[in-house]
Parts: sequence; structure tokens; C-alpha cells
Amino acid sequence: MKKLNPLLVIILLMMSFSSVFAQKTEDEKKADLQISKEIWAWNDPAFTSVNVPDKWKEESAVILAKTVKYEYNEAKRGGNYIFFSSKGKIYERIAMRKRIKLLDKAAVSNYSEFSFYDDNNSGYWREKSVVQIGIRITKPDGKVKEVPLDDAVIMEVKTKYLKAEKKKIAIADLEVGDVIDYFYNVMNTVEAEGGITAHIFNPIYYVLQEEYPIVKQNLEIRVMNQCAVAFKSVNGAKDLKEAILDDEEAVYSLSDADREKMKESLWVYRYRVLPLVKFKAGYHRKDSERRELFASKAWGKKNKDARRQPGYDNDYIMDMMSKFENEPERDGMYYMLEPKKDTRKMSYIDIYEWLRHDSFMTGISYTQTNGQIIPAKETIEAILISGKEAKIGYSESEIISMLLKIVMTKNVPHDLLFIPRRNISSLEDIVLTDEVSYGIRIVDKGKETYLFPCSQNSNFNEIPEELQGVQAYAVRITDKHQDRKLEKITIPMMSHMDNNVSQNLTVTINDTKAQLSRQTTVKGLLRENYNGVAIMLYDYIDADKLKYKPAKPPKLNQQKVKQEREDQSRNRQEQLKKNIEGEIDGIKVVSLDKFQLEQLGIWNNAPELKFSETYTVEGLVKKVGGNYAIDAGKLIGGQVTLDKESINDRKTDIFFPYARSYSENITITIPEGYDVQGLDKFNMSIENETGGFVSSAKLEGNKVTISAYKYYKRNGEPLSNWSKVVAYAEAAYNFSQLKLLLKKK
Amino acid sequence: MQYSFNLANLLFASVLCFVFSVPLVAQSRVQADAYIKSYPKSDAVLHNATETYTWVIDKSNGNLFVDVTTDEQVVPLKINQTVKRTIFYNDQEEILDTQAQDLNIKKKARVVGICGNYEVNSIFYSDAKVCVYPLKNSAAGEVLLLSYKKRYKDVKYLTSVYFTDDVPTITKKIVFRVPNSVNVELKEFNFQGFNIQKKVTKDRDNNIYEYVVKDLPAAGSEASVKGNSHVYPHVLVLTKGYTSNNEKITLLNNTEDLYKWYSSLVQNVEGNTDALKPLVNQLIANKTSNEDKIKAIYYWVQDNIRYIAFEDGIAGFKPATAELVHKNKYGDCKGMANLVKNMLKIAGFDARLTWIGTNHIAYDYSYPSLAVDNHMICTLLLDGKQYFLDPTESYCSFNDYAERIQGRPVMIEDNNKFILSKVPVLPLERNTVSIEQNYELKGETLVGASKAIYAGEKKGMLLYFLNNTEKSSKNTLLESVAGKDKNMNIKKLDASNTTEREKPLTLNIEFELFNQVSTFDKEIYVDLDWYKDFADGEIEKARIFDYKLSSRILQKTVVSLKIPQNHTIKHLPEKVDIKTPNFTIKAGFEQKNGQVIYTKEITVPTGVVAKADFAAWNAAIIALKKLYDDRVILEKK
Repeated sequence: MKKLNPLLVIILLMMSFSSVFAQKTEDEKKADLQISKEIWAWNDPAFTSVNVPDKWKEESAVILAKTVKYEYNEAKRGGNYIFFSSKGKIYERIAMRKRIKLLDKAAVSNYSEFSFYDDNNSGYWREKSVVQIGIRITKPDGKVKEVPLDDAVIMEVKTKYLKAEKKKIAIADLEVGDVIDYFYNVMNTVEAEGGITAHIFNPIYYVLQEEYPIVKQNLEIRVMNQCAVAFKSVNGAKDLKEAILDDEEAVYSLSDADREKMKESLWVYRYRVLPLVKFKAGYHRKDSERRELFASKAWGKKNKDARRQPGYDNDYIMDMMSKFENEPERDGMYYMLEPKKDTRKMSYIDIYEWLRHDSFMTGISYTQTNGQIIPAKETIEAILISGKEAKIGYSESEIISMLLKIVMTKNVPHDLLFIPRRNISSLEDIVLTDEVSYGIRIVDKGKETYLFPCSQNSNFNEIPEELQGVQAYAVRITDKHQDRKLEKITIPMMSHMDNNVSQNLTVTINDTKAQLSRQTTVKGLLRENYNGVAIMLYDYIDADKLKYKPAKPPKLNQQKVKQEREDQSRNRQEQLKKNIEGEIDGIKVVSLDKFQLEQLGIWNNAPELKFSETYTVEGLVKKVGGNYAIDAGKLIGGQVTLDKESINDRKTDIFFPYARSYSENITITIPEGYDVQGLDKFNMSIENETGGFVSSAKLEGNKVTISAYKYYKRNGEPLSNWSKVVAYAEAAYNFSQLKLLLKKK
Repeated sequence: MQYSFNLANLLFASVLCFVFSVPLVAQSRVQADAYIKSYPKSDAVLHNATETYTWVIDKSNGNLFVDVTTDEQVVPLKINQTVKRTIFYNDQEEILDTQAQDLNIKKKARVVGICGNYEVNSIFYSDAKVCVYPLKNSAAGEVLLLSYKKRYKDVKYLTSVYFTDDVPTITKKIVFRVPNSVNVELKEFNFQGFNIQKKVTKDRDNNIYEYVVKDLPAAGSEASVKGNSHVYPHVLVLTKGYTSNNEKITLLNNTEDLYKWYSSLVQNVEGNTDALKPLVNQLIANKTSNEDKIKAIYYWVQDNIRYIAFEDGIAGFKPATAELVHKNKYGDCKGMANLVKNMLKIAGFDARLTWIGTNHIAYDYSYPSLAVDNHMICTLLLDGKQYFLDPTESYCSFNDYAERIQGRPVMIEDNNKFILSKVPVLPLERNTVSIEQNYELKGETLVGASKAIYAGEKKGMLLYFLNNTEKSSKNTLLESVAGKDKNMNIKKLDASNTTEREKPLTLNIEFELFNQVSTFDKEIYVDLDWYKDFADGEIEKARIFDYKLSSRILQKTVVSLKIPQNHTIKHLPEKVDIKTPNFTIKAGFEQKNGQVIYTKEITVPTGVVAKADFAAWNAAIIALKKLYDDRVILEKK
């Protein structure tokens, strides 16, 4: 089924909660017709083309032409597409038309059904979305047929009070060789009581590649009246052309041609490699309020410059920074200050851990009494057991505000950090305020300490993966604002040794069954992977209670506590079994004999996660003649499998999540009456500047010990280093295929 | 700003939650521990339920309808969940009332459900609708109550009553109250092996049939079953007629009545067939034999009409006109059968619409019920023979039948009468999959060539995927059929008959295999079975229902390995040779002309492993796995 646009999915979500169904009025029907006429009349000649370039003849389908127009404006009486008139309404219009030549059955089937939501009123947000679509088929003989939308079937979802509808249409007479030409037009309007003073629309990442190649495409962004747009073209996309029509209207456009279809590849952040235009539009009644949209000093000007591409300059960043200083007294702040801790005497570690506790181990619950919704601060356990609706976790800016306020009491030099998230943008390419995170750097007696927003199990000294090693801005917070300066810095990177999994595995063989006993120690960001596997929520609750003994422990229904604990414990057993079966290819767990969580690893004085587990498994040891073959290589866990194409044809830089390493120490006891063969192959060593795989094996008495160490030295590599990464990735894969022979004496 | 935004969002969500879900305070509690142990994968059980079907004659108009009242006690097995109970309805079945116990006000309260079209992937549109009633619990073991009333406005749509639920059932009572003036027959299916008690009583006006079931697994708890009507305990409800105001009214009393109704729906469904004539004439031009003409028409429909299923009320039984299906280039089974029929008629053949239940259905036409069939095909009568044409199969040749219709009873239209017949069961050889491979050792790499032939069911499936996948991915798909992975490098691939429905699909490849050979000292250990079919085929001992394989199985594999010079065979894995009436698993190695020859044959003629065979089957699979784990050992002289 062809889904029109992710936006429509969002509309459905909105509808499923809040829509009050309304039939289209006569005016709306007229407007539909007008829109349809307008879009079919778009005059790019590509919209009449039927020919596919030779190089794409073997593709499934080819997009001959595509045009997308975004328009942002105040809604006024007599406007082209708006059916209501009062001030204080704004709209975003997205009109998309695409013309596709279908070259095989898969493409026909892809476009043979459409679903759409053609009307929506949202009561709560006072937002309204109107969608129109149109579909035409051009047959190979040149005949053009309009698809009658009246044939659509209606799928509905309703409750006693609300109703939402989706329409589905099966496209008749669609065959290989046809050209399908369709458009949709979405009008999202926003209104508010007493008018809107400011509104920021969702950011758009407009990618110039699709699942099919594109012959010709156009993008147009039109901003009118008090609307403005911040934008940038990145990863090889052309810059937008500007046309200032008058003081009240500007158009930014791009024309692009000859785009190959998108290809998936390993270790990539889409937004860092695909050619795209990113932009975000906003409405501000006063020009001076435009700073949220623009990361530039241009925000304050009341002239056409306000619509221009922002620069993320010193002035803007300074402005953002002072926002944190000047607005610390948020709701969250009161909770933080509640225990009356004197933060001046607390170490940064204690502050970090307290804040993490306050943010993730407590929450604000909401209960409804007599129609009133009453918030209360409660422990996460109380919320879990009571089943109340609750908010858990502060927002990033709340945490930064709190941290900043605390740091300021300490009278040490400190910087606010302005950091692009590496999965979305580099520093040079930042254009949207959503693309950055914040942090604090403290410089005390020459020693730098970094503080970043925490997560449930992040530790002091750990750096969120998307911030590591990126270029960022730092601003020293000084009393005199005019002394503040913007400095370009590089956020440190955790080393591969900081993010490490170490396992000691003992294998005891009993015919074709084996007992696997292993102790695992996990450091750094890799601990996250064990959440919901080795660690359950109650482990955090128990550890938290031990450290931050609540003054008044909540009275909980102990029967429910028991039920929840048992449920989590059962879940852990299931997850552990699945986990090891996933790690060691080909084994089947017969029983989980023992599990012990030894250290949770969320305190700075014991930052490693430690646990031990014992399983009886099948599938590792195979009877071969009178001997046994052991898939010993698989014991280091599944390895990346790179196919020929991805080894040879990689076109983009490599983005790993973070530098990391894996150490395996395996001891296999050789049963009496057997010799071991094949050990020599387990000695490997491939190391280069990007990382490595080093392994060795030896026999001592009746014990074989195999050790393997794999490490990714950095969190990313340029394309030129790809072969170096491949070298040790392939070595590790080959290692994983090795077998040991236990030969009967 | 940020905070208040979040708060607002959350409050909104909570308010909705209060609107939509019914917070239920426990009326009583039961011990959930035992249920959690017995049903570890379930979030809830149906602790106790009563479902009563009452036939009622509407005195005002003499019409017959059936009211169903259901009282359920659902016991959740986890804390703070929302157990979602679903009630299905459609144009013929309406939900009259729903109530849930709300002990805050000590009264039953009406439940607000979220209702809408029931969407399944394979069906474009149907009138099937569903209401979801979210019941909120606090602790595990609480008893949640839900009652509802449903009405079958037209009794012929009440075809069967299943005793299973989508959660495990602890106790459920199903009662049928049939007035003396109504003739209802209840046919019991799949009761064996389940705890079901039946009691028949009478009161002054009614016959009362009462079934009490205990400890039933959740429907859908086991995958790979033959079809609901083959496995789950249920009764087929045959409402044959009734007497109202001394007038005897016949409903579906026998097969003739069923045909009469069906037949009334297929009158005048050809539409204007003028537009079809030039197409038919063009298709059969230059075709001299009848068979060639039939094929030209049958294959054109398979190739050019997309299957899109509509099951909209009466349209679920009435075909779209041939004219419309041709114009739209899509249709459901009825529409496609109707188009083939009319095209064949234009070409001068005797073609008939034909009702059929696929092998998912356990019934035959001795039951006058709408549940008997779920599909429509076209029967061609030629020279005293019947040929069955199913145009929804995309790659089925003339005279070949997909497994799902083989052996199934059919009802063929014949003006005022009908013809009952059966689709032939084709020999097992139709499904042959044969693989021949020749290997040579080059160091620790196995170099070889292979020829694989796929026929029957597997061919049909492969052809469908090959021709519905993007052109540029076709080769990748063929490689994956050949078994390509990191350890297989395909050097050359030739596929033939990738669009040809009348011939088997063949795949010739030249390839290298890595990590299948290990050398230890003077010995070489070789793994000769790349595919290891059925290695994961062991069936869970506790399984309740027969295990249905993807199709009937006949697989033959022959692999040869040239023994390298100066090497002898030191060990060959022990052979497996297990033959039972219902399956054969044979595999073994032998030395022949300087080669190791490995042969394997797996047959499951019915395509089903019956519960009675589980032990034997598992023993065979374990033996086969042992052979797969073992290696051919060559030794240097």
C-alpha cells in the first residue's frame, strides 16, 4: 500500500485521539477543485514526460518529475485556500506532485492502492488539517485517465464521542508501462484563543533521494507576512535560490536533476550523508521574538533579512546561553531544591548522581479527583505499582538550567557548551535549533570536568554518544556579558577502553551438551545494551532506595510489589536466554542454571556493570566420528558480516556509535581421553590506526584458553580508512567460524 | 515553556485515558499464580464466562433472529495493565449493549469502546468491524467483568460458535436456547482431547443445549495449524427453518437451499461483455487446439488482473461483473472467476462459476452453511471432463491445482441444479524439489556447481516473488533462493523458466563455499550439506495441534565430493533411514568411483505432521541433526 507521507500518519495519530469529524462544506469543495486545478497546471515540462533515461531502464520505477511546495502564511480573509477569516490563524501548506513511470509489477503493486485522510479537525490544539489528493494515469498510448476518488472505501474508527475516517482507493487499470501522476495537498492551520503570537512548525529534512531514481525535482518554500524560514542545503545538495517578491513575501527554491535511488549501508547516519535541504518555518507576530527560529542576530530585524539563512553567530549563541541563566526557576527547580542540599559542598559526582536520581527515580504523577488533575511527586516505584499516569525525567534544558545554577554557586570558571548532535549535523551545517545539545565545562585548577544531561543509567564522566568528538562552541560564563566570548572546542571522545565488555567464559563439555559459565564486566556506554536483559527496573529501584533512603517511604500494596518483582524476574530469565542464543550462533539454551547481578554500575565509585550467568546449552559441541568438534570461534559472539558489495562499493564515511572494545577470555576444559587440535588457527592479529582484532589460544594441562580482543579505536572513520576497518572486521568474522577438534586418544 | 508543553501533552493523554478506559475495581480476586505458571505467555485468562444464544421470532414481522448475551470474567496476570477485549460485528451482526462492572458506583456501567473497520493485510475492504473495550486492572488476579449483547439480524450468518478465546479459557459455558418452533442442528467439531461436557435439557418452550468447556488454550497460541475449523472445538450452527404463525419457513435446510441462495446472487453478473470480445478474439487468434485457447485466456487473467479482496456484506458473496473486473484490472476471487468464465464462454466453452472451501476449511457440502466455502473458482466442462481454473493463483498452469484446493469439494453452478464434485488430488511428485551438487576441494574451500529444480507449490511461490519483486533485486532474490550468505560466493547463476508456469523453475549455479572444511593434522573434515533442511524441525513436545508444514513435501538431494588425490575416507556419518506411513527421512553417505556420494530424501505426503507422529518425527529429526553435525573425514595417505 502506498502511504502518502509520514505527515499523514501524524494526522491519523492526532485524529485517533481528538478529531471531531466534519463533512466538507460547499466552500471547501470549491477550494478542493481550485487546488486540484492549480496543481495539475504546474508547468515544469517534466510533468509531461513519459520517457525514462536508458541508464534507468532496468529500475523498478523512475520518478520523472517531482515538485514539493511548502507555504507558510497568516490566514486572512479572502486568502486563496483558507476558509475562515479571523486574525490569529496561521497555516502551513504542503503540496506535492509526483510523476512516476512504472517499469515492473512490484512498482505497479506499490502504487496500486492509496490511503488518505481527507479531513480533520482537532479540538484540543485548535489545529485543522485538510488533505486533497488527485491521481492520473497516462497509458502508453498517451491517453490520460483521472482516477475517480468517489470510488474510495471509507475505513472508520470511532468512539461514542469521536470519529475519524480514512479513505482507501484501489487504482483501476494500472499496468506496467503506465505513468502514474499524483498529488496531495495538506493544509495545516493553527489557531489559538486570542490569536497566536508565535508558532514554530515542525522541522523538515527534505532528502533529494528516494526509493526510485529521480529525473527532475523542484522544491519551493514560500514565506509570507510574519512567517520566516531558516534553512540550509547539506551533503551536496545545491543552495536554495532566493527571490524576495516584496517585504511580505519571499520564495526559496531548488531545482535538482538526475538523482540515483537511495541505497542502505552499514554504519551511516542518514542526515550526515544524504543530500538534503533542512528547514524550519515559524510565525512571530513581533519580529523581535524570532530568536527561537533563527540562530542569528538577524532575528531582531524587522525587514526582509529576517527570512534569510541564519548564521548561528556569536550573538545568537550568547543569547541562548543567557536563557539558561535567566530562567532557572522552572517547575523542576523546586523539586531539585526540595531536600535543601547545600550544593556548594557537594562534589560534581554527587550532584550528577543526585540529579539523575531526582530526574529518573522520581516522577510527577497525575491523579484525577472530581475532574481535577492533581500532580504529586512520587518515587518511580510508587508510580509503577499504582499504575498512575506520570511524567518521568527532566528535559535536557531543565537539567542544564539546574546544573548551571548549581555550578554558579561554586565560584569556579565554567563554560556553557553548544554541541551539534553528530547523528544529525556537524557544527558548520547546523541550521535548526533542534540539532544541538548542551553541556557544561568546568575548568578548576587546570582540570576540565564536563557535565552533560543524564539518562537513567548514565554515569558521571560518560559522554553521550551523539556528542563525542564533535566540534562545538563554548562560552565562558562571566559576570559581565560583554566579556563573554565564543570559543570553538572539541568535545572529548571516550576511548575504546572506556567502553568495554569483558567476559570470562568457562566451558565444560558433557558429550554434546556444554555448560557455559561466564562473568561479564561492562564499562561505559555499552552498559546500556544490558538494560532489560541483565538489569531490570527493580534493580535500579533497589539500588536507589539504598542510597537515597526516602524520608517517608511510600506505603505500597505489597502483593502488587511481589507480582511486579516476579514478572520482572521472569522477564529477565526469558531475555537472558534469548540474548545468549542471539550472541552465540547455533546454540540452544537447555536451562539457565544461575544468574547473579553483582554490580549495577551506576555509581561513580563502582561504575562497572558486573554479572555472572551459567547455562546448559546444546549445539556448540558436535559429535564428529568418534571425536567432538566445538564451534569455539562462535563463543566470542556474533560478528559483523560484510557482503562483497558493501566491502567494495562503500561511498560514505563511517559513523560508529562510539569507540569500543570487546575482550573475551574463554577456558575450555578438555574431557579426559581427548586431545585438542586446531589451536594454531586461533592466533590472529590485525591492528591498524582504526582498531584491531587480536586473538590467541594455548593449551595448559587439560585446559584450552582462547583470548580475543576486538576494538574500534574511534567513533568514526573517513571513507579512505574503510579497508582498514574491513580488515579486522573480516578477521573477527573468520575467527568466529573456527572450530576446535577434540580427538579421541 | 518546554515544561508546560510537556505537562499539557501529558494531561491531555491522561484525560483521554480516563475517557477511554474503564477503571475496574476488583469484584473479587482469584489466585493468579497457578494461571501464570500454566500460561506464562498470556497477559490474562478468561476465568469464567457464559455465552447464551437465543433464537427469537420477531412477532411483528415473523422474522427470526438470534440474540447472544455474554458475561465474562477476565483475570489479568500482570499488574496495572489494560486488558483489551474485542468484539467483532458486521452489517449482519450488531452490538446492542455493553456493560462493565464499575464497583465505585456499585452498578454496571456502559463501556465506551473504540470501534472501527477491522483491517487485515490480505483484504482491501470488508464489512468486518471490531470494537475494542479496554479494561483496566490494578493487581494480577483481579476479576474484571464485561457483559455484552449482540444480535444476528439474519440467522444464516450465524454459522459457527467457537469455544476458544484469544486468551486461555479456564471455564466457559456456551448455551443454545432453541424454541420448539425453530429447527436448529448443532454439529460438533474437534471436541476430542478437550474437557467439554454437554447437557441437553428441555423446558416448556425450548430445547436447551449446554456445553461447559474447561482449560482451553488460547486460539492462535500455536502457529502452523491446519485452519481454525480443523483444530479448535466448535459447533457448526445449522438453522434450517422455523414455524411462525403456523407458516413453515425454510431457511438453509439442505444443500439445495444453499445453492438456491448462492445461485440467486450470481444471476446477471456478466455485465456488458462486448468489451471482452475483441480481447478474447485476439487471445485465441491463431490458437487451434482447445487447450491452447483455454490457456491463453486463463493465463491472461492470471497475468493481468490484480487480486484485491472486497468482502463487503452481500458483496462478500456476489461477484463483481466481468465487465467491471476487466475494466478495473483488479478483482477478488469471485470477480476473477467470473471474468474467466465469461471470457471462456465468449470463446465458445462451457464454463461455470464454482464455490469451494480451501483446505483451511474442514467441511463439505453436506452441511447447508455459509461456512462451507470461502473461495470461488471457475470450472470448465470439456469433453465430459471437469477442469478447475483458479485465476487468483498467479503462476498455476492449466490442469495443475494449488494445494489449497486439491481434494476439496466443489459446488458447480448448473442452472437450477448444481453439480457436486471434487478437485483432484495431484501426485506428491508435483511438489518435487531436487538439488544436485558436485563439489571439489580447493584447500579449505569447496568449489562446486549445483542444479536445483523447483516444481509445484514451491515453484508457484518462487515465481510469484520473483515476478513481484523489483527488477533490480531479482538476482539478489535468486541468490538467496540458492542459499547465498557470507560463506557462499556465487560465481555464476543461471535461472530458467522464471516466468514460465508450465515448467519447473531451475537454478544452475557455480559457487565456492567457505568455512565448511576444517583441516586438523592429516584429516580433513567436510560438511557436505549446505542447506540442512528441517534442522530446526523438532516439534515442541507439549504442542496440542497437528503441525502443518508449508506444503506437501518431496525433497531429494544428491551431493558428490571428489576425493582428493592421496586421500582416503576415514569416516562417513551414520545414515538415517526412517520410514513411517506418514513421512520418510532418509540420508546417508557412500563411496563410489572416487567420490563421496551423499543422498537425502524427505517426504511428507500429507504436508502435516500429526500429533500421534510427533515422537517418531522428533526422533527422526534428532537423528538427522546428528548426521548434519557429523562430518565426512578424509585422511591423507
